[in-house]
Amino acid sequence: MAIKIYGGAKSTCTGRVLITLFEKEVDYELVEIDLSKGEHKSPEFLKHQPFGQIPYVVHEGLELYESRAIARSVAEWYAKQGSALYGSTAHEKAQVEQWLEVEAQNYNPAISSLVFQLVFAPWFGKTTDEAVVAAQTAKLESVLDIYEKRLSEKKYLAGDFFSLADLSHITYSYYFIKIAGKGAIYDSRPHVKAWIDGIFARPSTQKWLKLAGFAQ
Amino acid sequence: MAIKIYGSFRSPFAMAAGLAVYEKDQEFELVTMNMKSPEYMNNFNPFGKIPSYQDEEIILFESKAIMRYVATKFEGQGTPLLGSTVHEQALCNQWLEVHSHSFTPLIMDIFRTIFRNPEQPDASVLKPALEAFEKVLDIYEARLSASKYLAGDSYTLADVAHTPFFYMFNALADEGSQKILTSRKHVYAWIHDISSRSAWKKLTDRPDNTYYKRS
Repeated sequence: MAIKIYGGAKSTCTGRVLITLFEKEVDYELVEIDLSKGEHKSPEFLKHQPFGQIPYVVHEGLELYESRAIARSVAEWYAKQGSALYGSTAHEKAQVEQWLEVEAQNYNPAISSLVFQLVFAPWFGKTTDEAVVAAQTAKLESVLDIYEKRLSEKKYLAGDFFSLADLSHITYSYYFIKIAGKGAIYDSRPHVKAWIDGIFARPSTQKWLKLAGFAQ
Repeated sequence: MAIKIYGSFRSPFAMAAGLAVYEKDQEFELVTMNMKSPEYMNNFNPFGKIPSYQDEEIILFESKAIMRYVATKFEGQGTPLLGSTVHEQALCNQWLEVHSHSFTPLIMDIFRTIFRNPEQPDASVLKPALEAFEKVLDIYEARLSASKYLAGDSYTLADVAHTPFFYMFNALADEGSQKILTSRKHVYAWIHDISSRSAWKKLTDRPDNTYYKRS
C-alpha cells in the first residue's frame, strides 16, 4: 500500500489529497477519522497531527500533514506517472506554484469561510452569520474577477494544462457551488464557469464524489 | 537582467523573498511601485500585493512561489533550501503550509493590534491573540526539540519564511510579550540561529530596510 491516509472521504482537505492520488494513479488506503466523536482531537491523533486537523498520511515511514503539502509531495514522488500536475518545464512549475499559492492565500480564506457558514454551521446546529457571508462573498467575487481575466487568456490557471493549482480548488468549490447551491457568481463569469465545469467533470473528481457519497 | 523584487521591506513577505535570493548568493534591486496602480496590477500582480519578482525569464508573485523558484533556479549555488532528503523535502512543504495557515494569521493578528495603538495596544485584544499564538508555539517547541530545523537537520525555505516575522515581533512587541518566545527554549534557540545567518544580516543591513530596528 503506497499511501495510508487518515481523514474523511467527505472532507474538503482529504478530498484534495484523494483527487491528487487519483490523478497520479497511486494506490492508497483511507482510514476514516470520526470527526463527530472528536477523534481528531484525541491525544492519540494529536501525536500524528498536533493541530488536530485531517488529513495526515503515512508514506514509506514518513508522516506528513497539510493537504497542499501532501498533494505537492505526491506530485513529486509520482512525477513519472499519471497527470503532469506540475507541467513539463521549470517555467510551468513556477506558474503552478504561483497559482497554488493564490488558491491558498486569496481563494481559500473566502471560500472556506463561506462553506463553514453555509454548510458546516447548519450541519452542526449553529446559525449562519449572514454578515460574514456577505463580506466573504464580496471578497470571493473580486478573486473570481481576476480568475475570469486569467482564464480568458489561458485554459487553466497555470497555463494551457490542468495542474495542481486547478485541482486545489475542486473540493471547497464543489461544497460552495453544488452543496450550498451558490454557483450564480461562477455562472455569471463565462470563463470561470467553463473552467469549474471542466474540473468538476474530470474522472478524478467524479471518483471523489462517488467515494464521498455526493455522486448523483 | 538582474533580479528585481517589487515591494518594500515593511512587508515580511518581501523580506522572505529577499532572504531567499541572498541565501542563493544572488543580488537583487528593490523596486517600489504603487501596488494598486494599473501598471503594477496589469504587469506584476493582479491581486495588487507585494512582493513580485522579475528576472530575465519570468515575472512571479506570491512570496512562497518566488522562494521556491529562486531555490530551484539557483540550485547548486549558495545554501541548499529545499531539503537534503526526500523526507526533508516533504516536511519543508508541510511547515511552509503550517506557516501560511497556522502561524501567519495569528502573528499578523498580534501585529495589527500593536499597529492600531503602538504606545498602548488594546490588552483585551492582545491577550487572547498572544494566547492563541502560544498554543501554536507549543507545537513548534515540540518539533524543534526533536529537530534542529523545521524540516529536519537542514535549514530550508520553511525556516526562511519565519525569520522576518520574528524580526518584526522583536521590534514591535513589548517585553512581556517577548516572554512567549524566550520561555520556549528550543523555539528561542532556533530563532537565534536563523536570525544570525549572514544572508539575513545582509538583508537587515540594507539602507532600505529600516522599519523594524529596535531603538
